[in-house]
Amino acid sequence: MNLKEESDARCLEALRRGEKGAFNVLYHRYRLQLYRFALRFLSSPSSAEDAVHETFLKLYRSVESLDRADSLRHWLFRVLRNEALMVIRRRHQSEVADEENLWVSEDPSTALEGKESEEIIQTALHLLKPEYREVILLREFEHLSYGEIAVVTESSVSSVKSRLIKARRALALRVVPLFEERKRV
Amino acid sequence: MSCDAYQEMVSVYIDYELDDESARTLFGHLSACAGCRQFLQKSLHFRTVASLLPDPGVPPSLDRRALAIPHATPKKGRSFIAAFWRRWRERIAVPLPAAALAITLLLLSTAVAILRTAGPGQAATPEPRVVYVMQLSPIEVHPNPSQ
Repeated sequence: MNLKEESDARCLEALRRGEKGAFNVLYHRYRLQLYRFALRFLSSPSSAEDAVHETFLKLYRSVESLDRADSLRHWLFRVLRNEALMVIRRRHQSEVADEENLWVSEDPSTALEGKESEEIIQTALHLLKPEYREVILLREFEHLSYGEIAVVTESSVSSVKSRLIKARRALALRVVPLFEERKRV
Repeated sequence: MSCDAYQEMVSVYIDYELDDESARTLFGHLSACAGCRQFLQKSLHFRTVASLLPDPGVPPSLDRRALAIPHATPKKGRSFIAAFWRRWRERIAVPLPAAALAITLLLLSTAVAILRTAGPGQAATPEPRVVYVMQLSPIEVHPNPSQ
């Protein structure tokens, strides 16, 4: 059986039966999107690599107990997001007293000056608080729907909507003017 | 409605989750409000720049580590108990109570239907009731007891 063409559910079944090739298929199917999300969430290649590795390790270890009704993609993103949040907690980045402020640092504009678009986006995302960063990443880069983001972030659709709006306002206010400036130069 | 509310609609609109009626209301406002129009333009500008970012390459070291997992890791929950719990959850814990509930509802609705068809108009003839009548001997009653 060529597992590359098979659905996630079939691959999981094969993995449960002990076909190790099924793990390779699932890894190649999801590695890029998971690594991309982890890298943009954590802004550190080594932390992103560790988080993705841990996610696949959990997949392999818990394949027997995985709920069949769950989408594998959502499950992987949920596990990876929790791994990434643990990394951030260890870095103490989320300890910001000001609840109203969406940015981790005081003035993101200073940190973003003189950078290329890619760097601007990466830096801006890094400066956003994790709860706003995750929704922007899942929506703008991974194209998940509101419902899917709610499943991955274990929150409600209204919370996803509200965080997206706030994040977009913050980005529109501080980040997009820098792209526009760059275009004028 | 405030500009904050319209900007919320802008955010939902660019995510393709706004219904047609609300979209018409939103565009009515956008034609008159430069601030909200600018928010829409900036949000779309961010999306454009974000979509042009190249994908990061997956490091070969991650491939090596991840692909070694099946060869170096024992599976958790491969035991009989874990398999039993999974089967219990998937085949018994939900399907059986659901089937029992469906059967109960079916029986209840049948009972209600039967009771309704035997309504007051078509009620069966009532059972004859047994009435006991005591025969009393006549008593003489005088209008004035002192006489």
